[in-house]
Amino acid sequence: MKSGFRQSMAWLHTWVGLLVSWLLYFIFLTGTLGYFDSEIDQWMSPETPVFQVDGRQVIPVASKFLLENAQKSDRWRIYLPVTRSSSYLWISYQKNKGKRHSATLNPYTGEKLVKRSTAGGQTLYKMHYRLRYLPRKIAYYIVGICTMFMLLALVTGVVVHKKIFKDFFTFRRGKKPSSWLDGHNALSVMSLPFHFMITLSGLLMLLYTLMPLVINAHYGFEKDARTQFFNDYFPRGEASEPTGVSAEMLSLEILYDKAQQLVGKDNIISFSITAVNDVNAQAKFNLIHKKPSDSEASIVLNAITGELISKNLQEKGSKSFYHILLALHEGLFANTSLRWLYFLSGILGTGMIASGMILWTVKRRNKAKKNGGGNLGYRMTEGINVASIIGLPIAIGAYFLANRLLPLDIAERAAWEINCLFIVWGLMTIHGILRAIFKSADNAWVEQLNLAAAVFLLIPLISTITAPKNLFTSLVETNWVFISIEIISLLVAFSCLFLARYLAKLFRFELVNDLGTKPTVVPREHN
Amino acid sequence: MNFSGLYRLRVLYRVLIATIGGYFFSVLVAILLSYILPTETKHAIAWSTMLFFIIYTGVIMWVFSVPTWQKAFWGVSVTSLFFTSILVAIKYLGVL
Repeated sequence: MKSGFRQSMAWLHTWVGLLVSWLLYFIFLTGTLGYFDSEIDQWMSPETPVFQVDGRQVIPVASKFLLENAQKSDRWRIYLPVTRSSSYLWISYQKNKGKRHSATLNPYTGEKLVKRSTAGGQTLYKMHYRLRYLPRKIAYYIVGICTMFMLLALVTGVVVHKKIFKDFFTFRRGKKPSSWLDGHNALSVMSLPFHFMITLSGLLMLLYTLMPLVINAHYGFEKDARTQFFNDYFPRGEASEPTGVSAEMLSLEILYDKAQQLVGKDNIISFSITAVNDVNAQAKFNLIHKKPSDSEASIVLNAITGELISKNLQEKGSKSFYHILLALHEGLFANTSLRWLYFLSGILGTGMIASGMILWTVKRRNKAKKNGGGNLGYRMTEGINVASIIGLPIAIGAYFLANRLLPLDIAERAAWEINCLFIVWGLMTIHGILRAIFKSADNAWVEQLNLAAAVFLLIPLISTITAPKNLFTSLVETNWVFISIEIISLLVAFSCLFLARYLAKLFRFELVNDLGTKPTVVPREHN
Repeated sequence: MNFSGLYRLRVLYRVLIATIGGYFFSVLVAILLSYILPTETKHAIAWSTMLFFIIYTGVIMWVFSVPTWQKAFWGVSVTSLFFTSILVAIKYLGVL
């Protein structure tokens, strides 16, 4: 190991970072896109209108639908079209915990809305913790271990700096390893609080899956130990069960009005009725997340008499800390400007990871060039770097294109959109590694950047041809969701094109320099 | 950078001490905390489980920062044994 605390931490930072950077890059990028999951959902079902309605107006429509379709069910759930994350009236009903039926409705007319089968923004963002094609538990462990490494990389990254504040304002342009180092520092420090918050809360998301042993110490190792702890710690106020004695419930309108009196107007996002038309009937109202501490807020009413049964508006102690961190991670409470800030912080984090990956290779580049392009390990690293940093965005672009291009009536359409993402990513990985091994990763960088430019240029174009909405109609209707997504695609396309040309010039210049057998001073590296 | 076999072996030792030894150490400290934190048991469990990740991070950093891997090994194992004995005393001998 290295002598000195800071040197050994720099060593640890380098290797811990490199080991998980590829998966972390995937987690950060898909997670960041998740801050606009509902907006991506909208873009991916272009023929379906979206609604923002006063919740109270929708209740008669929901009520009518349930009376016509769900009289025999004992459990109803109603999501109101009142926030960005719910743009339709969504109703589900089930009987005896059997199959759950659901319907997406036009909140004005009660007509069923037709949606194309799409994985949407939801599946895209869920992959950042659930991954894909893996059993749930294994995926959680892999993501958990990566997150743990991320925390370690963050802490060691901070302690290696003697003067983190001064370093932040340092930028040595045009000196390769130093410029990359300064860039990496700038990206990291600019949103350091966000990085810590997102990493720590990411661990808390999977808390008891990753570390069940403290529970086991108190509750034993039996199978239901966890359930016992959860019942003690998160008492759900068990959903009421039907007794078989029927009774007449208050109408949904009256129940909704009573709830609104207790929690204020325009605060309810969804509600559920358990033991429908039974003496045990209860109505539980969930509140819109308007601040981080709202995440579990709800009230429960007796659906026969309208009396308040329980009220849970503020958590206490460790639970308050826990739920506030989870809420900060998800950012459901964030308004549009805060949401953009979240998105920007996420992009900075993604950039931090990418620049760290590049830094590792740039530092070893001179040495690698001296012995004909470096050993297999170095070449593989370079290849995989290209395949993640540029290959993954290409794959995500392909996912967006697949949404527009796959025939609407194929089976498992939503799953095939995701398969397209991974097939393209696989191809990019093969391309990157083969290029790096047999020629040089430099070629892979330029080629994949050009491809990325093409893919992201195609997104608005293909969308214009195939979808009822396109950039021009969106501009006329000022549909910001479509405008933003398609303009950002164009921006990404032109940035990639610019970068590809810049890198091509740079690599040619380097080649000329190297042929000139100019003696270069190899900087002494610590790590 | 020294890539001799001995160097690699030393790195491997530290990785094992940090990941496995550090894990046991942190679990033990977290469980111990869950018994002594001055709050309701369920909250103490929650706080200690959350603290586990912070402790683990700290231990890993410590293992990689001490001069020799032997010191890291003894540091982690002796303290772990010490905490185990306290835990046994609490859980099975009814101390506390």
